[in-house]
Amino acid sequence: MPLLRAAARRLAIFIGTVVVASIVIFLIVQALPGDVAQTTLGMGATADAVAALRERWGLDQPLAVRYGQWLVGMLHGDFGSSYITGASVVSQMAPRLAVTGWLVGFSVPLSLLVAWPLGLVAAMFRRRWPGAVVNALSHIGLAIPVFFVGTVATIIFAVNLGWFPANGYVTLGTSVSRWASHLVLPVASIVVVQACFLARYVRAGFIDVLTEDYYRTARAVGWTRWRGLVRHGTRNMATSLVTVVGVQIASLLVGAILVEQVFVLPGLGTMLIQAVQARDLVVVQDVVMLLVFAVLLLNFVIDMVYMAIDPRLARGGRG
Amino acid sequence: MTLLAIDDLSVDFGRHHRPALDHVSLLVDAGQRLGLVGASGSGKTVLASAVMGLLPDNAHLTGTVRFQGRDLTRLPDAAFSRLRGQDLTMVFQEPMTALDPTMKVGRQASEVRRLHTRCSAAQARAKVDEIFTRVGLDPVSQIADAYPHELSGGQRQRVVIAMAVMNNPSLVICDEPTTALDAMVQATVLALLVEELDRVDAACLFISHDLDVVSSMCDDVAVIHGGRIVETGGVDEVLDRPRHPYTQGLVATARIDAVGPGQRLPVIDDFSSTSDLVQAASEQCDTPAPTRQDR
Amino acid sequence: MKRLTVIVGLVCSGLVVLAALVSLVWTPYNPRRVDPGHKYAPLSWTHLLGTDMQGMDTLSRLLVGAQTTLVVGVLAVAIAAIVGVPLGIFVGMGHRFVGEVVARGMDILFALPALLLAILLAAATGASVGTATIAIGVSTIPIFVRMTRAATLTIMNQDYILAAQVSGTPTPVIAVRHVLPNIAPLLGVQAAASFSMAILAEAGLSYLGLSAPPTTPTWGRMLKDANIFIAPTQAVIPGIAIAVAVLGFNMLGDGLRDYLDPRLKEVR
Repeated sequence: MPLLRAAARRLAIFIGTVVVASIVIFLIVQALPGDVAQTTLGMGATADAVAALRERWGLDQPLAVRYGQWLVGMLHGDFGSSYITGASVVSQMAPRLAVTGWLVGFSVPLSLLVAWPLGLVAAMFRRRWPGAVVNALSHIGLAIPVFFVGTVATIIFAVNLGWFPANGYVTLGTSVSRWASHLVLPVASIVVVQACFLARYVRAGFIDVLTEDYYRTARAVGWTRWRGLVRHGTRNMATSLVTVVGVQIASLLVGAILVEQVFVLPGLGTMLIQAVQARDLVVVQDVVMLLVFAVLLLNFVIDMVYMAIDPRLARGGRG
Repeated sequence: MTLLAIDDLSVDFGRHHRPALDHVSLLVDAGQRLGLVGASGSGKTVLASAVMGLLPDNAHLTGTVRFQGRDLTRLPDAAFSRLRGQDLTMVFQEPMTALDPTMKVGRQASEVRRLHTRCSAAQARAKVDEIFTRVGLDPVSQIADAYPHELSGGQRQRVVIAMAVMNNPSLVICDEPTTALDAMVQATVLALLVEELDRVDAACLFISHDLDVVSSMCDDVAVIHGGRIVETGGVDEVLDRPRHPYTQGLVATARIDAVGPGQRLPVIDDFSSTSDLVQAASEQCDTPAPTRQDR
Repeated sequence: MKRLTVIVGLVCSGLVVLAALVSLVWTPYNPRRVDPGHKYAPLSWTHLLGTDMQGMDTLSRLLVGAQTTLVVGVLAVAIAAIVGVPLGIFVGMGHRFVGEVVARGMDILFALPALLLAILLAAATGASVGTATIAIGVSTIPIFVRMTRAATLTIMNQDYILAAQVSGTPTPVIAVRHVLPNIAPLLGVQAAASFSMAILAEAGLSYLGLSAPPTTPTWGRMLKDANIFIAPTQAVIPGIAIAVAVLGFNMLGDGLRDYLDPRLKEVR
C-alpha cells in the first residue's frame, strides 16, 4: 500500500515538525537574554529575592530539563501555571478558547460563502467591468488591515447607528441574543478581509474550469454559461481551494487576535497580548504552542484529505 | 430539407483579429452525414465551436448560422442552451477530459435528460440505463456509479456518445470522435456511432482528418483549408476526382499503398499553393488560445 | 488597465516615501508636543488633520509615522531576502536531502506567522521596533525561499547552465554569475509585494503594542489610541494611511510583474 506508507511518512513528518516547533518556541521564550524574575520584581530587587523567585519558578534548572518538563506536562494535559497569577493555564484557556472558537467557526464558512459568488462573477466577467470591479475590490480589501475594518465598522454600526454593541462579550449561556449581537461586528470584520483573500483563489479556480473540456461538455449538453459553471465548476474549484485553506487558517489566526483587541473580546488573542504585557512567559509559551499546533495539525489533515482525493483527480482530471 | 445552413461565416480571434474562418458557407440536410476534412489548424474545430455557440469570448463572428431556420448567432444564451443537448449535440475528441472528474458518469448523463425533459430522477435514471445498455456500457449500474477516471477511454467515449444521443437530436457534431482512441477501440466506437445516428435518425457533421473514416461513414464531404471551404461534393466524387490542389494532396498523401518502393512520399505542399502565412495564422486559432492564468 | 495599476501604485507609494522624507526635515508641529489646550481639535487650517487626545498634531505624527513604516518594511524584506534567496538558490541547485530539511523548516515558519513570532520575541526580550522587524522578516523568509527555488529550478534546465557545468565552472560561480542575474527581476517583484505585506504586518504589531515604544508615533498605534466615540476621524486617518501604503506597494509589485513577465505580455 503506497498510499498507507505515504500517510505514515506524512504523520512522522508532522510529529517531527511539532516537536521542532516546540523547541523553537521554547528557546525563543526561555533562552533569549532577558531575566523574567528580575523584570517581575523590578530593578530595585535584591539579588537574593531574584534568586529565590527563579528557584520557585524552576528557572535555575538547566534548559533541557525545563523543556522536558514542559513537553511531558503538555502531553498529560498539564500546561503549567502562570508565573504571575499562579493559576493553571489550562483552566484560563478553556473559556477563552470558546470565544476564539466562535469567532473562527463563524468566519471560515461565512467568508467562503461571500467569496464564492465574488470569485464566480470575477471569473465569468474577467475581461469586462464586473470582473475588474471585483478584482479591484479584492485588491483594496487585502490592503485594509482587519483592525481598521473593525474600527470603521464600530464607528458606523455601533457608535453612529447603535445597531450593535461597540465592544465586549456575553457568553452564550447568559443570553443568546446578546451573545449573537456581540459577535456580529467582529465576525463581519474578519469575513470582509478573508472573503477578499479567498475571492482571488475562487476566481482563479473558476477561470481554470472555464478552459476545461468538461465545462465545454456541460455547455454542449445544455447548461447555460452560469449554471454550468456553478454546477460543474464549484466542486472542481473547491478541490483546488483545499490547499489554500491552510494558508487561510494561519492568516485567520492573526486576524482573530487583532479583532479580539478591537472589540475587547476575552479570547485567546487577548489572553496572549495580556500575557506578553505582563511578561507571563508560561502563558505566552503555552498559547503560542497551542496555536502553532492547531495550524500544523490542520495542514496535516488537509494533506491527508488531499492525498485521499488526489489519486482520483490525478488520473481522471488531468489526462 | 435543410437543417443547418452556414452562410458567409467568418471568425477571428483577439484584439488583433487573427483570422480562423474565412467566409465559410455550408449546408447540412436533415439526416445527411457530412464529413468535414482538413489538416490540424485548418479551422475545423473553430467551425464546430461556432455552430455550437461555444467559441471563447475573445472570438469575433460575422455571418449567419441557421439551424432549423433560426439564426443561432443571434440567439441569447438561455434559448441556445435549450437547443444544445436537445436538438444540437456534440461528441468531443478527448474522452479523457470531456467528463467532469468529480461527478459520477451516471449522474452527468441523467442531467442531460433532466435539463431538457420534465421527468423524475428515477425516470431519468431509467433512460440513462436504457441508453447505456444500448451503447454497450456493461454492467450498466456499475458504470453509472463510476467516476470518469475509473473508466477506459473507449468507455468514456461511449458515455459521451450516450449523452449526445440521449434526447434524439436532429444534428450531432462529431469532432474527431475516435482520434484519441486505440486503433482497436476506434472501429467499434465508430460502428456504434453510426448505429446510434441511424437509430435516432440524426444528421451528422463529422469532423476528421482521416479520409478512410470519412469515406466509410459519410455521404458527402467538405474540404477545409486555411479557414476556407475549398471543395464540396459527394464522398466518392471528391475522393476519386479531387479538383482542388489541396484536396488532391490530401488524397495522395493518404494513399501510401500507391507509392512505389524507392519513391518519395508525397506531402501536401507538393500540391497546395495556399500561402504558408494563412496556414500559420489559422493554426494558432484552431485550438482556443490558452487563457491567461490571471491572479 | 495595467498602466493604471502602475500609476496608482507609483502615486500611493510615492506619497508615503515623500511623507517620510519631508518629516525628516520638517513637520508642521513637533510630533511629540503635548498640548492639553487643543485636545481633539477638528480638521482646520491650524491643524490640518486635527489633534489627538493629548493635543498632539495628527499630520505631524502621520508624517513621522511613515518613517517607521518604511524602515521596518525595508529591513524586514532585507532580512527575508538575505536569508531566503541564497537558501532558495542553494536548494534549487542542490540535492534532495538539503531541500527536504529546508522544506520542513519552512513548514514550521509557515505555522509561525509574524504576529506569533513577534509575540514570542516581545515576551522574551520586550517589544521594540527590532523585535517587530525580525519577526516580520523571518516570517517572510519562506516566500523568498519558495520563489527563488522555483525560479532557480527553471534556470538550471537552460542550456547555458549545462554548458557552464560541463566546462567545469564551480557551482558558486554559476549561482552568482548565471542564476542570480536571471532571477533578479523576479526578486524585485517579490520584494515589492513582500514590502506591502510587511507594512500591513507592522501596522498590526504596532496596533497591538508589539512594535515601537509608545513615544514613537506609528500609524497602528495612532489608530489604536484614537477615541472613536469622541473623534472617529483620528482613527480613520491613520487607517487610510496604512491602506494607501499597502495598496501602493502592492500595485507597484503587480505592475512590475506584468511589465517584466514577457510571458504575460504576449497573451493578448
